[in-house]
Amino acid sequence: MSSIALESRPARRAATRDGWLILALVGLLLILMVASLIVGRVPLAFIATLRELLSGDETTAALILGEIRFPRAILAALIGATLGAAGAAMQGLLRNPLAEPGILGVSASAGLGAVIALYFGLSQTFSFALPAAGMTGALLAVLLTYVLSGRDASIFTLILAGVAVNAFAGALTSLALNLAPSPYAALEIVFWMLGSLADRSFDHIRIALPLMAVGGILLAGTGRALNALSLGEDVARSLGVNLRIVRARLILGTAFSVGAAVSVSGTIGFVGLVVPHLLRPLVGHEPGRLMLPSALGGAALVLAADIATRVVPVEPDLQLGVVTAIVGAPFFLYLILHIRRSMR
Amino acid sequence: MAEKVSVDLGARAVLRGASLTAATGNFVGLIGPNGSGKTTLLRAMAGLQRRVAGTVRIDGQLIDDMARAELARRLSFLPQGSEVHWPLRVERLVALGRIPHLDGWRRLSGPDHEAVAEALRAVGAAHLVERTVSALSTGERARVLLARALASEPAILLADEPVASLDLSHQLLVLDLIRDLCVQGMTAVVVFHDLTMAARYCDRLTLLVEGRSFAEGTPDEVLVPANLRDAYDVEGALRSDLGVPHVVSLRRIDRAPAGPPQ
Amino acid sequence: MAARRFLALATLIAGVGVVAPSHVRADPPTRVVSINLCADQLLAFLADPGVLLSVTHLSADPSLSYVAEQVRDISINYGRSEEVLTLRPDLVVAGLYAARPAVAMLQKFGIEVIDLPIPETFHEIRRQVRLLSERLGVEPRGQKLIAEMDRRLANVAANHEHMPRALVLGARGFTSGPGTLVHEVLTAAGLRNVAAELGVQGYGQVGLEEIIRADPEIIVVNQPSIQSPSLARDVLAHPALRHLGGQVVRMNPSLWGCGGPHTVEAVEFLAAVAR
Repeated sequence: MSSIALESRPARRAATRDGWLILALVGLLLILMVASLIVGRVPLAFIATLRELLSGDETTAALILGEIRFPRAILAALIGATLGAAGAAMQGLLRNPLAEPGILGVSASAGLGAVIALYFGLSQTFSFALPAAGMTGALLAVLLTYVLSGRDASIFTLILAGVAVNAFAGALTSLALNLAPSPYAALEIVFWMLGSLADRSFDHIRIALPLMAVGGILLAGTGRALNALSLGEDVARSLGVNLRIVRARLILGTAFSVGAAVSVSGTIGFVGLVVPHLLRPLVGHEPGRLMLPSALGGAALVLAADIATRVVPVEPDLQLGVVTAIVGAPFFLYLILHIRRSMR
Repeated sequence: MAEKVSVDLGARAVLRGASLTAATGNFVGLIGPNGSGKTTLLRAMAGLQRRVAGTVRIDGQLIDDMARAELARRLSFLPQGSEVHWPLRVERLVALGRIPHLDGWRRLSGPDHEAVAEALRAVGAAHLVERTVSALSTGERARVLLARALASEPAILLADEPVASLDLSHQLLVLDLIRDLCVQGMTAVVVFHDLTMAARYCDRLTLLVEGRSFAEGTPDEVLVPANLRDAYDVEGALRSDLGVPHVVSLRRIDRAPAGPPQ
Repeated sequence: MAARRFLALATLIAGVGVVAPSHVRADPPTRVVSINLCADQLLAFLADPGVLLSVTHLSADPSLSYVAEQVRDISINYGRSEEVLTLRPDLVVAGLYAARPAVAMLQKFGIEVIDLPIPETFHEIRRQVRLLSERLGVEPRGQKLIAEMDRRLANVAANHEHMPRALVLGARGFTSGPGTLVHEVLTAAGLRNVAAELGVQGYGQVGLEEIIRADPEIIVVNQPSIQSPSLARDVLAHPALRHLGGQVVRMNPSLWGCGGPHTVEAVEFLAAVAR
């Protein structure tokens, strides 16, 4: 009896270790959120302003804090959480640590939708045309991916379909840039694609949150199936996993949440790739345990990057997607060196 | 259990009306030359392969009528090879075998941990519990994957060449284990490559040739020279040495290609 | 093409129509912030001293802004809503390509925002001057500016018998055809726009071969000053272009980058060249 008790304890440790990890990430997240409220181009006396805000005093500083910085911080966290969770989901589904939310073409298509709205000047008539167009683009991408890859598609076919959708969306975006009516329009498109959270308001949150929440709900609860998939599709199915439903949940969940995120902030890359990759060893490489930590880690990363855009003394402001790319590129370098070292 | 199963894979008809029956507590061996459809039949029995014709029943009930979860609880499938996509810890990997018993959000609990520990002990891998799967040798990994299949305490085990990569000692360990479990009531259908081991351990054998059930019965009945000749193109016989059966293959039979019909 | 122009026009009308009535106030604003380069210039011309609180950072660049010297002492902004809000403006002037989220945010705070499209005709320049001068309560000043501009335009001795053919050339063959302010300026100066001959509508590109075959008598290149690196050399870098017979003329881009009353200087300059 005693030997069995000894052997079962390590499994229980896994659950508590996750608890510590999540606690640590939540702590990091809270610190970054507060930092995001304090940092900005316009210096604020933070405590005093906070007091004004809480007492309903509508001074300029309180309005800046409450209506500009606060929604920006929340949005950064939501978008980061979306990208992190979707990245973990895609890496689990495709059983590949190099997968990221955009692999099935969702980000590129959301971007294309928004670019089309910019190109036709729709964003100037109807201020939330951009997010709406972005979400439409994302959903069309998913539809196209399903149509291209068929009902019971293998991983390989799914990835190929994603490559095709990405290529198509990229080509059309380049076309839009090429045919842009004026240099200003082209510049507007380019800057939008670089990603930004500047001057986003609670209205943006109201627009993006529903679909993000739907996506998140779809993704949550796929953990066990993703774990089962570690042993291959046959074993997963024999363990009772309904692969078709799980795959649909993962793909649609990613499409909804990432589509909503991209359409509000522009394309922000690398978060969905880097965060799950970094956190995976901390959850014993189990894809099921990875999603929540990745969401928290992604939120932290995007918040940190957004703070960086306001802190780095460069004019004009660094775009958010540029900062995450600058973080992502060295990460790839490190990955390559790490793999080469382990191969030797 | 499986009756008259036909499976088409792409352009080829892989199984043409193959049948296999396994009574409770039986250790059934599925043998046949390369490409005869053994893996396909096993997958069809596990409900993983679409059938063109035929039925698969467990205790009289069609598996098509069974809920996915119910089937998963009663049946364990162990495929060929050792596909593990992430470097999981051994214990967590074996714990995946408990998934059929975890409803909804319920986490692993006492009985689950005990089943995992017991499975690891039974395959002789208890000392590997903290190791990472990717760091194991082929033989160790094979045993750990079998432990996963056993952790769900299945009524039926379907295993595809589970001892192919094991050394002699561990082959005997695993096959002894399966036989013991069969004595305790588990039904096992195991695809064998090695006819000697099949003869030694199985209560009954089904010989598959080109997708059809060529022969069925006890090892003595099935592994007769005539069958070895027709199925394996080999001149050989089933002998008994030191009290244990073994199959001796003497020489190849070179079959001249069939000429045009006269 | 036409559909897009129509949509842009409809947008413009809708935009102005929506903004104007809801915020029409009797008092002219006393705290004005511009987040649009072209608006910087117009406001610099029109606003009373002390009313214009902030201009875009682009106005500090004399190659972009005609009023760079004039706004030297005015604080600059980067179009971020935080900085604009801190100035507590009662009027913000933006452009259709200014950061739209910032504009939306400012409107949420109940600040009046006027959107000015990039002027592509003298008619539009007059309309914008009129609009702003009315809003700022300085109609006489606005009328004077317009009158002065019209007088100088009329005085340009445009010779309509001999109209030299000219092409405005940018890097990689970018040029401006009918529908742009550049085209208007060329026409007012008595020049024929080769871009129109080559079928360019609005901003477009012309190919090297087409330029050579068209053989314009005058090539206009945007270059801020004699000291700045020779854009002309870059634009005309291709060996084939060096054999063109026409004369190369340098134009200060701030004269027509953002259309305004000062654009008439460009007309006068080119008219002189034409003779």
